[in-house]
Amino acid sequence: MACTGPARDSQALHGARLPQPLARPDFTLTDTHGNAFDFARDTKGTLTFLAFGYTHCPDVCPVQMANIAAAMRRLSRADQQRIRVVFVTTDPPRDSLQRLRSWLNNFNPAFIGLRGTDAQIETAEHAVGVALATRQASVPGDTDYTVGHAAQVYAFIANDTAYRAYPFGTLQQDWAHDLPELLRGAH
Amino acid sequence: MVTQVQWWCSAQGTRWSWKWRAYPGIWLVVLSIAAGYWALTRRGPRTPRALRRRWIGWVGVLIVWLALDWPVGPLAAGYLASAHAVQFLVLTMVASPLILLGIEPALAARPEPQGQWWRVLRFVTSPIIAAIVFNVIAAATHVPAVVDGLMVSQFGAFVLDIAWLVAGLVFWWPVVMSVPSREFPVLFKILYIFLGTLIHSGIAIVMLLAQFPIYGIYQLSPPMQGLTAMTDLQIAGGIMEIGGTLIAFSVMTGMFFTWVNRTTAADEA
Repeated sequence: MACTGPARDSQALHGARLPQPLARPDFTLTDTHGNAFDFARDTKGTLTFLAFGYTHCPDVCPVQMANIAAAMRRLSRADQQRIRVVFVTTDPPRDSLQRLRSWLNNFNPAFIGLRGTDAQIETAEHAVGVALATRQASVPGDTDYTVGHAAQVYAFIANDTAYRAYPFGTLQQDWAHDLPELLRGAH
Repeated sequence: MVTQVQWWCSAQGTRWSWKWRAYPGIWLVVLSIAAGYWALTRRGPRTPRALRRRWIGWVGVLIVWLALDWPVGPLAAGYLASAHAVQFLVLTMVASPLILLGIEPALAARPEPQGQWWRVLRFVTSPIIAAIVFNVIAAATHVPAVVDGLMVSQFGAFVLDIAWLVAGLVFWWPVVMSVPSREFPVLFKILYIFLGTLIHSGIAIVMLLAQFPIYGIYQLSPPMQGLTAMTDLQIAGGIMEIGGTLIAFSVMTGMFFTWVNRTTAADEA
Protein backbone atom coordinates (compact mmCIF):
# COMPACT_ATOMS: atom_id res chain seq x y z
CA MET A 1 0.00 0.00 0.00
CA ALA A 2 1.26 3.48 -0.83
CA CYS A 3 2.48 5.60 2.08
CA THR A 4 -0.06 8.32 1.54
CA GLY A 5 -3.24 9.32 3.22
CA PRO A 6 -6.45 10.00 1.39
CA ALA A 7 -6.25 12.38 -1.57
CA ARG A 8 -6.36 16.03 -0.49
CA ASP A 9 -7.75 18.79 -2.64
CA SER A 10 -5.32 21.64 -3.14
CA GLN A 11 -5.60 24.89 -5.00
CA ALA A 12 -2.00 25.64 -4.17
CA LEU A 13 -0.47 23.19 -6.65
CA HIS A 14 1.29 24.85 -9.56
CA GLY A 15 0.31 22.24 -12.13
CA ALA A 16 -2.62 22.96 -14.41
CA ARG A 17 -5.87 21.40 -13.24
CA LEU A 18 -7.36 18.97 -15.76
CA PRO A 19 -10.95 19.67 -16.81
CA GLN A 20 -11.82 16.12 -15.77
CA PRO A 21 -9.83 13.82 -13.50
CA LEU A 22 -8.10 11.16 -15.56
CA ALA A 23 -7.97 7.55 -14.40
CA ARG A 24 -4.60 5.85 -14.67
CA PRO A 25 -4.66 4.55 -18.26
CA ASP A 26 -4.24 0.96 -19.21
CA PHE A 27 -1.70 0.24 -21.92
CA THR A 28 1.28 -2.03 -22.36
CA LEU A 29 4.56 -1.15 -24.07
CA THR A 30 8.14 -2.38 -23.90
CA ASP A 31 10.56 -0.89 -21.38
CA THR A 32 14.24 -0.24 -22.05
CA HIS A 33 15.19 -3.67 -20.65
CA GLY A 34 13.02 -5.28 -23.30
CA ASN A 35 10.29 -6.34 -20.86
CA ALA A 36 6.58 -5.74 -21.21
CA PHE A 37 5.50 -2.79 -19.11
CA ASP A 38 1.86 -2.65 -18.11
CA PHE A 39 1.46 0.98 -17.18
CA ALA A 40 -1.65 0.62 -15.02
CA ARG A 41 -0.39 -2.45 -13.18
CA ASP A 42 3.30 -1.57 -12.87
CA THR A 43 2.76 1.97 -11.58
CA LYS A 44 -0.39 1.33 -9.53
CA GLY A 45 -0.56 3.29 -6.29
CA THR A 46 2.56 5.34 -6.96
CA LEU A 47 2.99 8.96 -7.92
CA THR A 48 3.68 8.64 -11.63
CA PHE A 49 4.54 11.28 -14.18
CA LEU A 50 3.68 10.32 -17.73
CA ALA A 51 5.17 12.13 -20.71
CA PHE A 52 5.12 11.57 -24.45
CA GLY A 53 8.07 12.73 -26.52
CA TYR A 54 11.15 11.70 -28.44
CA THR A 55 14.87 11.76 -27.91
CA HIS A 56 15.61 13.98 -30.94
CA CYS A 57 13.25 16.59 -29.49
CA PRO A 58 15.18 19.89 -29.51
CA ASP A 59 13.34 21.71 -26.77
CA VAL A 60 10.27 20.50 -24.86
CA CYS A 61 11.29 16.94 -23.93
CA PRO A 62 14.81 17.57 -22.61
CA VAL A 63 13.66 20.65 -20.69
CA GLN A 64 10.72 18.85 -19.07
CA MET A 65 12.83 15.81 -18.16
CA ALA A 66 15.68 17.96 -16.86
CA ASN A 67 13.36 20.01 -14.68
CA ILE A 68 11.62 16.98 -13.19
CA ALA A 69 14.99 15.38 -12.52
CA ALA A 70 16.34 18.54 -10.89
CA ALA A 71 13.27 18.84 -8.66
CA MET A 72 13.47 15.16 -7.69
CA ARG A 73 17.10 15.54 -6.62
CA ARG A 74 15.87 17.89 -3.90
CA LEU A 75 13.80 15.13 -2.32
CA SER A 76 15.06 12.49 0.09
CA ARG A 77 16.16 9.23 -1.50
CA ALA A 78 13.14 7.52 0.05
CA ASP A 79 10.77 10.03 -1.52
CA GLN A 80 12.55 9.78 -4.87
CA GLN A 81 11.92 6.05 -4.82
CA ARG A 82 8.20 6.70 -4.39
CA ILE A 83 8.04 8.47 -7.78
CA ARG A 84 7.93 6.96 -11.26
CA VAL A 85 8.67 9.02 -14.33
CA VAL A 86 7.52 7.28 -17.50
CA PHE A 87 8.55 8.59 -20.89
CA VAL A 88 6.80 7.10 -23.93
CA THR A 89 8.60 7.65 -27.20
CA THR A 90 6.48 8.93 -30.06
CA ASP A 91 9.31 8.25 -32.48
CA PRO A 92 9.93 4.48 -32.42
CA PRO A 93 11.75 4.41 -35.80
CA ARG A 94 14.64 6.46 -34.39
CA ASP A 95 14.28 5.77 -30.66
CA SER A 96 15.67 2.30 -30.13
CA LEU A 97 15.42 0.93 -26.60
CA GLN A 98 19.15 1.49 -26.22
CA ARG A 99 18.96 5.09 -27.41
CA LEU A 100 15.98 5.74 -25.16
CA ARG A 101 17.84 4.34 -22.14
CA SER A 102 20.95 6.33 -22.90
CA TRP A 103 18.98 9.56 -23.35
CA LEU A 104 16.99 9.11 -20.12
CA ASN A 105 20.17 8.34 -18.21
CA ASN A 106 21.23 11.93 -18.93
CA PHE A 107 18.47 12.99 -16.56
CA ASN A 108 17.92 10.14 -14.13
CA PRO A 109 18.72 6.44 -14.57
CA ALA A 110 15.50 5.60 -12.72
CA PHE A 111 13.32 7.19 -15.39
CA ILE A 112 11.38 4.58 -17.30
CA GLY A 113 11.44 4.63 -21.10
CA LEU A 114 8.73 2.88 -23.09
CA ARG A 115 8.63 2.01 -26.76
CA GLY A 116 6.21 0.16 -29.00
CA THR A 117 4.90 0.01 -32.50
CA ASP A 118 3.18 3.06 -33.91
CA ALA A 119 -0.14 1.35 -33.30
CA GLN A 120 0.72 0.54 -29.67
CA ILE A 121 1.80 4.12 -29.04
CA GLU A 122 -1.40 5.41 -30.59
CA THR A 123 -3.30 3.14 -28.22
CA ALA A 124 -1.44 4.67 -25.30
CA GLU A 125 -2.14 8.18 -26.57
CA HIS A 126 -5.82 7.33 -26.96
CA ALA A 127 -5.90 5.92 -23.44
CA VAL A 128 -4.54 9.18 -22.02
CA GLY A 129 -6.59 11.32 -24.37
CA VAL A 130 -3.77 13.31 -25.93
CA ALA A 131 -3.47 14.28 -29.57
CA LEU A 132 -1.72 11.70 -31.70
CA ALA A 133 1.91 12.46 -32.47
CA THR A 134 2.70 13.46 -36.03
CA ARG A 135 6.02 13.33 -37.86
CA GLN A 136 6.84 16.44 -39.82
CA ALA A 137 9.69 16.26 -42.32
CA SER A 138 10.68 19.32 -44.33
CA VAL A 139 11.43 16.99 -47.24
CA PRO A 140 9.29 13.86 -47.68
CA GLY A 141 11.27 10.79 -46.66
CA ASP A 142 13.84 12.83 -44.75
CA THR A 143 14.92 11.09 -41.56
CA ASP A 144 15.73 14.41 -39.91
CA TYR A 145 12.12 15.12 -39.03
CA THR A 146 10.44 16.62 -36.01
CA VAL A 147 7.55 15.03 -34.13
CA GLY A 148 4.57 17.02 -32.96
CA HIS A 149 3.43 15.53 -29.64
CA ALA A 150 1.66 16.33 -26.40
CA ALA A 151 3.96 18.58 -24.37
CA GLN A 152 2.29 18.24 -20.98
CA VAL A 153 3.31 15.77 -18.28
CA TYR A 154 0.46 14.05 -16.45
CA ALA A 155 0.72 13.47 -12.71
CA PHE A 156 -1.08 10.35 -11.49
CA ILE A 157 -1.19 10.35 -7.73
CA ALA A 158 -1.48 7.39 -5.39
CA ASN A 159 -5.23 7.06 -5.88
CA ASP A 160 -4.50 6.22 -9.54
CA THR A 161 -5.99 9.44 -10.86
CA ALA A 162 -4.44 12.48 -12.50
CA TYR A 163 -5.92 15.82 -11.54
CA ARG A 164 -3.03 17.93 -12.80
CA ALA A 165 -0.85 18.21 -15.87
CA TYR A 166 2.35 20.19 -16.27
CA PRO A 167 2.63 22.01 -19.57
CA PHE A 168 5.86 23.11 -21.18
CA GLY A 169 6.92 26.22 -19.31
CA THR A 170 6.66 24.60 -15.88
CA LEU A 171 9.75 25.73 -13.98
CA GLN A 172 11.93 23.73 -11.62
CA GLN A 173 10.56 25.74 -8.72
CA ASP A 174 7.02 24.69 -9.69
CA TRP A 175 8.03 21.05 -9.81
CA ALA A 176 9.91 21.34 -6.55
CA HIS A 177 6.86 22.89 -4.93
CA ASP A 178 4.42 20.28 -6.21
CA LEU A 179 6.36 17.03 -5.86
CA PRO A 180 6.11 16.79 -2.05
CA GLU A 181 2.48 17.88 -2.21
CA LEU A 182 1.64 15.26 -4.81
CA LEU A 183 3.43 12.63 -2.74
CA ARG A 184 1.13 13.58 0.13
CA GLY A 185 -1.82 13.01 -2.15
CA ALA A 186 -2.74 16.61 -2.83
CA HIS A 187 -4.58 17.29 -6.04
CA MET B 1 14.77 28.38 -48.92
CA VAL B 2 13.64 31.54 -47.12
CA THR B 3 15.39 32.28 -43.87
CA GLN B 4 13.68 34.62 -41.47
CA VAL B 5 16.01 37.49 -40.66
CA GLN B 6 16.01 38.89 -37.17
CA TRP B 7 17.18 42.47 -36.77
CA TRP B 8 18.28 41.94 -33.14
CA CYS B 9 19.15 38.85 -31.10
CA SER B 10 16.30 37.66 -28.92
CA ALA B 11 15.23 34.35 -27.39
CA GLN B 12 13.77 32.13 -30.11
CA GLY B 13 13.21 28.84 -28.31
CA THR B 14 14.87 26.94 -31.13
CA ARG B 15 17.78 24.57 -30.79
CA TRP B 16 21.16 26.33 -30.79
CA SER B 17 23.07 26.11 -34.03
CA TRP B 18 26.59 27.23 -34.83
CA LYS B 19 25.33 28.27 -38.24
CA TRP B 20 26.02 31.98 -38.68
CA ARG B 21 23.05 34.32 -38.67
CA ALA B 22 22.78 37.96 -39.73
CA TYR B 23 21.45 40.64 -37.39
CA PRO B 24 21.17 43.82 -39.48
CA GLY B 25 19.91 45.92 -36.55
CA ILE B 26 23.11 45.21 -34.66
CA TRP B 27 25.22 46.22 -37.65
CA LEU B 28 23.23 49.43 -37.97
CA VAL B 29 23.66 50.32 -34.30
CA VAL B 30 27.36 49.49 -34.32
CA LEU B 31 27.81 51.52 -37.51
CA SER B 32 25.99 54.43 -35.84
CA ILE B 33 28.26 54.18 -32.82
CA ALA B 34 31.30 54.03 -35.11
CA ALA B 35 30.07 57.04 -37.09
CA GLY B 36 29.43 59.00 -33.92
CA TYR B 37 32.84 58.04 -32.57
CA TRP B 38 34.51 59.06 -35.82
CA ALA B 39 32.66 62.39 -35.85
CA LEU B 40 33.66 63.12 -32.26
CA THR B 41 37.31 62.21 -32.65
CA ARG B 42 38.26 63.27 -36.19
CA ARG B 43 39.00 66.87 -35.21
CA GLY B 44 40.76 65.96 -31.99
CA PRO B 45 44.39 66.63 -31.20
CA ARG B 46 47.00 64.69 -33.16
CA THR B 47 49.48 64.10 -30.40
CA PRO B 48 50.84 60.56 -30.13
CA ARG B 49 48.89 60.10 -26.88
CA ALA B 50 45.63 61.28 -28.44
CA LEU B 51 46.14 59.10 -31.52
CA ARG B 52 46.92 56.10 -29.34
CA ARG B 53 43.76 56.83 -27.33
CA ARG B 54 41.77 57.09 -30.57
CA TRP B 55 42.81 53.56 -31.53
CA ILE B 56 41.90 52.31 -28.06
CA GLY B 57 38.44 53.77 -28.62
CA TRP B 58 38.11 51.93 -31.93
CA VAL B 59 38.94 48.72 -30.06
CA GLY B 60 36.05 49.60 -27.74
CA VAL B 61 33.70 49.97 -30.73
CA LEU B 62 34.91 46.62 -32.08
CA ILE B 63 34.27 45.00 -28.70
CA VAL B 64 30.71 46.38 -28.67
CA TRP B 65 30.14 44.71 -32.04
CA LEU B 66 31.62 41.40 -30.89
CA ALA B 67 29.54 41.45 -27.70
CA LEU B 68 26.26 42.10 -29.51
CA ASP B 69 26.57 40.09 -32.72
CA TRP B 70 26.60 36.35 -33.43
CA PRO B 71 27.50 34.14 -31.60
CA VAL B 72 27.66 35.98 -28.24
CA GLY B 73 24.47 37.96 -28.86
CA PRO B 74 22.09 35.08 -29.58
CA LEU B 75 23.72 32.86 -26.96
CA ALA B 76 23.20 35.59 -24.36
CA ALA B 77 19.70 36.37 -25.55
CA GLY B 78 18.18 32.95 -25.41
CA TYR B 79 20.46 30.17 -24.30
CA LEU B 80 22.99 30.86 -21.56
CA ALA B 81 22.87 33.07 -18.50
CA SER B 82 26.66 32.80 -18.47
CA ALA B 83 26.88 34.35 -21.94
CA HIS B 84 24.51 37.06 -20.73
CA ALA B 85 26.88 37.78 -17.83
CA VAL B 86 29.85 37.96 -20.20
CA GLN B 87 27.94 40.35 -22.43
CA PHE B 88 27.04 42.58 -19.48
CA LEU B 89 30.62 42.75 -18.23
CA VAL B 90 32.08 43.36 -21.66
CA LEU B 91 29.65 46.14 -22.56
CA THR B 92 29.68 47.93 -19.21
CA MET B 93 33.20 47.30 -17.93
CA VAL B 94 35.36 46.94 -21.03
CA ALA B 95 33.90 48.52 -24.16
CA SER B 96 32.46 51.61 -22.46
CA PRO B 97 35.65 52.87 -20.79
CA LEU B 98 37.69 52.14 -23.92
CA ILE B 99 35.33 54.23 -26.07
CA LEU B 100 35.49 57.06 -23.52
CA LEU B 101 39.29 56.88 -23.49
CA GLY B 102 39.16 57.39 -27.24
CA ILE B 103 36.93 60.46 -27.23
CA GLU B 104 38.36 62.13 -24.13
CA PRO B 105 41.23 64.02 -25.85
CA ALA B 106 38.92 65.36 -28.55
CA LEU B 107 36.24 66.50 -26.12
CA ALA B 108 38.78 67.97 -23.71
CA ALA B 109 40.35 70.03 -26.52
CA ARG B 110 37.05 71.62 -27.52
CA PRO B 111 35.97 74.96 -26.15
CA GLU B 112 33.39 74.10 -23.54
CA PRO B 113 30.02 74.16 -25.26
CA GLN B 114 27.00 75.60 -23.56
CA GLY B 115 23.46 74.44 -23.87
CA GLN B 116 20.85 72.26 -22.35
CA TRP B 117 22.33 68.92 -23.51
CA TRP B 118 25.69 69.80 -22.05
CA ARG B 119 24.05 70.68 -18.73
CA VAL B 120 22.18 67.36 -18.77
CA LEU B 121 25.43 65.56 -19.48
CA ARG B 122 27.17 67.41 -16.66
CA PHE B 123 24.39 66.35 -14.27
CA VAL B 124 24.14 62.72 -15.38
CA THR B 125 27.91 62.19 -15.32
CA SER B 126 28.46 63.73 -11.90
CA PRO B 127 29.83 60.87 -9.79
CA ILE B 128 26.91 60.28 -7.47
CA ILE B 129 24.29 60.43 -10.21
CA ALA B 130 26.43 58.30 -12.53
CA ALA B 131 26.87 55.65 -9.86
CA ILE B 132 23.14 55.66 -9.15
CA VAL B 133 22.27 55.38 -12.85
CA PHE B 134 24.70 52.50 -13.32
CA ASN B 135 23.58 50.61 -10.24
CA VAL B 136 19.88 51.06 -10.93
CA ILE B 137 20.25 49.88 -14.54
CA ALA B 138 22.53 46.98 -13.57
CA ALA B 139 20.18 45.83 -10.82
CA ALA B 140 16.95 46.34 -12.76
CA THR B 141 18.20 44.57 -15.85
CA HIS B 142 19.04 41.46 -13.81
CA VAL B 143 15.63 41.14 -12.17
CA PRO B 144 14.25 37.80 -13.48
CA ALA B 145 10.88 39.25 -14.52
CA VAL B 146 12.63 42.00 -16.48
CA VAL B 147 15.05 39.64 -18.22
CA ASP B 148 12.31 37.09 -18.98
CA GLY B 149 10.02 39.84 -20.20
CA LEU B 150 12.50 41.68 -22.39
CA MET B 151 14.57 38.94 -23.96
CA VAL B 152 11.69 37.26 -25.76
CA SER B 153 11.27 40.23 -28.09
CA GLN B 154 13.82 41.81 -30.37
CA PHE B 155 12.91 45.28 -29.19
CA GLY B 156 13.15 44.23 -25.53
CA ALA B 157 16.55 42.65 -26.09
CA PHE B 158 17.66 45.79 -27.94
CA VAL B 159 16.54 47.98 -25.02
CA LEU B 160 18.43 45.84 -22.55
CA ASP B 161 21.65 45.81 -24.57
CA ILE B 162 21.57 49.56 -25.18
CA ALA B 163 20.75 50.20 -21.52
CA TRP B 164 23.90 48.33 -20.55
CA LEU B 165 26.04 50.30 -22.97
CA VAL B 166 24.60 53.60 -21.75
CA ALA B 167 25.01 52.52 -18.12
CA GLY B 168 28.66 51.69 -18.78
CA LEU B 169 29.36 54.99 -20.53
CA VAL B 170 27.69 56.96 -17.73
CA PHE B 171 29.51 55.04 -15.02
CA TRP B 172 32.98 55.39 -16.50
CA TRP B 173 32.54 59.00 -17.60
CA PRO B 174 33.60 60.56 -14.26
CA VAL B 175 36.63 58.25 -14.16
CA VAL B 176 37.87 58.77 -17.70
CA MET B 177 36.62 62.16 -18.85
CA SER B 178 37.76 65.59 -17.80
CA VAL B 179 34.68 67.32 -19.25
CA PRO B 180 32.10 68.69 -18.66
CA SER B 181 32.91 68.45 -14.94
CA ARG B 182 36.45 68.86 -13.72
CA GLU B 183 38.39 65.68 -13.04
CA PHE B 184 38.24 64.60 -9.45
CA PRO B 185 41.16 63.21 -7.42
CA VAL B 186 42.51 59.76 -8.21
CA LEU B 187 41.88 58.35 -4.75
CA PHE B 188 38.29 59.50 -5.01
CA LYS B 189 38.04 57.81 -8.41
CA ILE B 190 39.34 54.57 -6.91
CA LEU B 191 36.76 54.76 -4.14
CA TYR B 192 34.07 55.53 -6.74
CA ILE B 193 34.97 52.46 -8.81
CA PHE B 194 35.11 50.26 -5.73
CA LEU B 195 31.73 51.34 -4.39
CA GLY B 196 30.11 51.66 -7.81
CA THR B 197 30.96 48.14 -8.90
CA LEU B 198 29.81 46.38 -5.72
CA ILE B 199 26.58 45.74 -7.62
CA HIS B 200 28.42 42.95 -9.49
CA SER B 201 28.94 41.12 -6.24
CA GLY B 202 25.32 41.62 -5.26
CA ILE B 203 24.05 40.17 -8.53
CA ALA B 204 26.65 37.40 -8.38
CA ILE B 205 25.65 36.41 -4.84
CA VAL B 206 22.01 36.15 -5.87
CA MET B 207 23.03 33.91 -8.77
CA LEU B 208 25.42 31.77 -6.74
CA LEU B 209 23.07 31.24 -3.81
CA ALA B 210 19.90 30.71 -5.84
CA GLN B 211 18.00 27.53 -5.03
CA PHE B 212 16.68 27.35 -8.59
CA PRO B 213 17.59 28.80 -11.97
CA ILE B 214 16.25 32.32 -11.55
CA TYR B 215 15.67 33.10 -15.22
CA GLY B 216 12.82 31.18 -16.84
CA ILE B 217 14.12 32.06 -20.28
CA TYR B 218 17.38 30.14 -19.80
CA GLN B 219 15.74 27.35 -17.84
CA LEU B 220 13.24 26.69 -20.64
CA SER B 221 15.63 27.22 -23.54
CA PRO B 222 16.72 24.23 -25.60
CA PRO B 223 19.52 22.79 -23.48
CA MET B 224 23.16 23.22 -24.46
CA GLN B 225 25.07 19.96 -24.42
CA GLY B 226 25.96 18.86 -20.90
CA LEU B 227 25.10 22.13 -19.17
CA THR B 228 22.16 22.29 -16.77
CA ALA B 229 20.33 25.57 -16.18
CA MET B 230 21.57 25.59 -12.58
CA THR B 231 25.21 25.09 -13.53
CA ASP B 232 24.88 27.77 -16.17
CA LEU B 233 23.49 30.19 -13.58
CA GLN B 234 26.34 29.42 -11.19
CA ILE B 235 28.87 30.00 -13.95
CA ALA B 236 27.12 33.31 -14.65
CA GLY B 237 27.44 34.22 -10.98
CA GLY B 238 31.13 33.29 -11.04
CA ILE B 239 31.72 35.39 -14.14
CA MET B 240 29.96 38.37 -12.56
CA GLU B 241 31.93 38.05 -9.33
CA ILE B 242 35.37 37.12 -10.63
CA GLY B 243 35.18 39.03 -13.91
CA GLY B 244 33.70 42.19 -12.38
CA THR B 245 36.11 42.18 -9.46
CA LEU B 246 39.11 41.43 -11.66
CA ILE B 247 38.34 44.29 -14.04
CA ALA B 248 37.54 46.78 -11.27
CA PHE B 249 40.63 45.91 -9.21
CA SER B 250 42.89 45.93 -12.27
CA VAL B 251 41.74 49.45 -13.08
CA MET B 252 42.00 50.59 -9.47
CA THR B 253 45.46 49.09 -9.09
CA GLY B 254 46.65 50.67 -12.32
CA MET B 255 45.27 54.06 -11.29
CA PHE B 256 46.83 53.82 -7.85
CA PHE B 257 50.32 53.02 -9.09
CA THR B 258 50.11 55.65 -11.81
CA TRP B 259 49.16 58.16 -9.13
CA VAL B 260 52.00 56.99 -6.85
CA ASN B 261 54.54 57.27 -9.66
CA ARG B 262 53.35 60.72 -10.65
CA THR B 263 53.34 61.92 -7.05
CA THR B 264 56.84 60.55 -6.49
CA ALA B 265 58.11 62.10 -9.69
CA ALA B 266 56.57 65.44 -8.76
CA ASP B 267 58.10 65.30 -5.29
CA GLU B 268 61.54 64.50 -6.73
CA ALA B 269 61.25 67.36 -9.20
